[in-house]
Amino acid sequence: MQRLLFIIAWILVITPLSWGVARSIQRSMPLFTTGTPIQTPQVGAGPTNLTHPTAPSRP
Amino acid sequence: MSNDSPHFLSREATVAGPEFSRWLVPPAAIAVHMCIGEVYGFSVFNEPLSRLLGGAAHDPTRDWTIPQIGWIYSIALVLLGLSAAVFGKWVERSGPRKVMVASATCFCSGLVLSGIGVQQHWLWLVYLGYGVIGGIGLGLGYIAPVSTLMKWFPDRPGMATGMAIMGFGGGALIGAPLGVTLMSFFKTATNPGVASTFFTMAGLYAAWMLFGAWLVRVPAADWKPAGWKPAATGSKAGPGQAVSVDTAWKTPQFWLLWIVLCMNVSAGIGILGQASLMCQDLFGVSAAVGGGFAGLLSLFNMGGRFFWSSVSDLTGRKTVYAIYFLLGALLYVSVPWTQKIGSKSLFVAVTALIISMYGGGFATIPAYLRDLFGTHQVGAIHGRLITAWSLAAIVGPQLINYISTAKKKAGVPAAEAYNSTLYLMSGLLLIGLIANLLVRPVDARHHLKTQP
Repeated sequence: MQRLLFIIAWILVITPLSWGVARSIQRSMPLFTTGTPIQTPQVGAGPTNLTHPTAPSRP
Repeated sequence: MSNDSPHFLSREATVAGPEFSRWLVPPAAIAVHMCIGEVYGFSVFNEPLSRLLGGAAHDPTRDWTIPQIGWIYSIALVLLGLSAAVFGKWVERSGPRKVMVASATCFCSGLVLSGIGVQQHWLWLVYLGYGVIGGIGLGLGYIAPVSTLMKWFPDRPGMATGMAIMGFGGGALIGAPLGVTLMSFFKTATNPGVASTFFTMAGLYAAWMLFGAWLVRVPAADWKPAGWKPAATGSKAGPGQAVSVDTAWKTPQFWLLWIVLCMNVSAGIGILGQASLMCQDLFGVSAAVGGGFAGLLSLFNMGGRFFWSSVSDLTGRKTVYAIYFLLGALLYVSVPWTQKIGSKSLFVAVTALIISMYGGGFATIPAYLRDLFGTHQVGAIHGRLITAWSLAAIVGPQLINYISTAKKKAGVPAAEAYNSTLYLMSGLLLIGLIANLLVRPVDARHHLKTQP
């Protein structure tokens, strides 16, 4: 009984976490696969969004 | 049930029998933490909430504005810190099950009230539901399993709390895509489906959180891990002598750790908050790739919580914080160099390492408190310390945004504008390093006269 509970409990928390991790990896793949040329920012080049508020961190 | 049976929610009812495996407690804690961690995925609702009446587009005359919506999140964060600080003693007294149920009730009923607020287009009800009531649920859920985990894992307290706090980090990785998936399921031509998403999430999260509450147990008073010999109380490897929460927060050690946490949070925001834009501005990548970079950092933020807090069990807490701050400061000042040599890979590696240590800083704090103040009221003390995070999370982003915006408006190139912020972050970490090095064992006059 304890063993069954152990397996169920870990499956219940690992499954959604794995789903979230997989989605995150999937989302970050273009970072390594797009082959976007590295550009040096030009002097005076403006930011894409000056008013974008920075997101608070996680405790 | 006889009248002599302890109530299901009481601490007495959660005392584990001899056959109970302590490895069932981390999934109970993670189940709660990964649900309340959803708050970090809240930004996916911003845009849909801003066009509830306009349908396909924002109606500036009737719809809520983004700054108005932003307050929902800010209120929740403030209430998280306040409730953790105010209810800490009650949490210790009541035991983890009752607190987890209270957390689930507040968090999920907050979601339901917010859903009603969205349906009726009453912003005040969303503030009250998600912000105030939900925020109290966040604070309760965050500190609920802390001291229980450390009592179950006296041999590995850092790893134990690291697992739960890793779950909180993982909550964003689940909550954001879950919110998007549900909204795309419920949306119609005129309704973005936010209310139905809130109701569904309330049900799903209630199920997971109540499962955690049912599963959690506290160890019997005389329990200890098989074959484990406790280190002497007050020794380097053992817990500190018990100090009450009301005394702890008057000691210099508490405030030094408060500075440590505050500096760690403020510095982390330098990368986390600007990750996507920074990647785009420094390396000319698209917004989609920048978003992917932010997601990758979230992954390292989560993984670092488990990895570094486990490392702290081997090295000691003071050493691992010295690594965070010293190595972190060096890495921050090296970020402009990675841009200078044009290495995107190195930039990603450096920032990922910084963020892993930032997450580690959060996850190691409970064990550091246990080393100094013992396990007696460590959850309550942790609750009060979280006010450092609340302050840094509200003030820090505004400060950083102000500096970088002012620099850019003054005509400073984007790359150099980021440099100023990064050097500032590095300086904050050095302040944290000094505070960490000043931490000494708590003076004996603060110890409880009768050790629990």
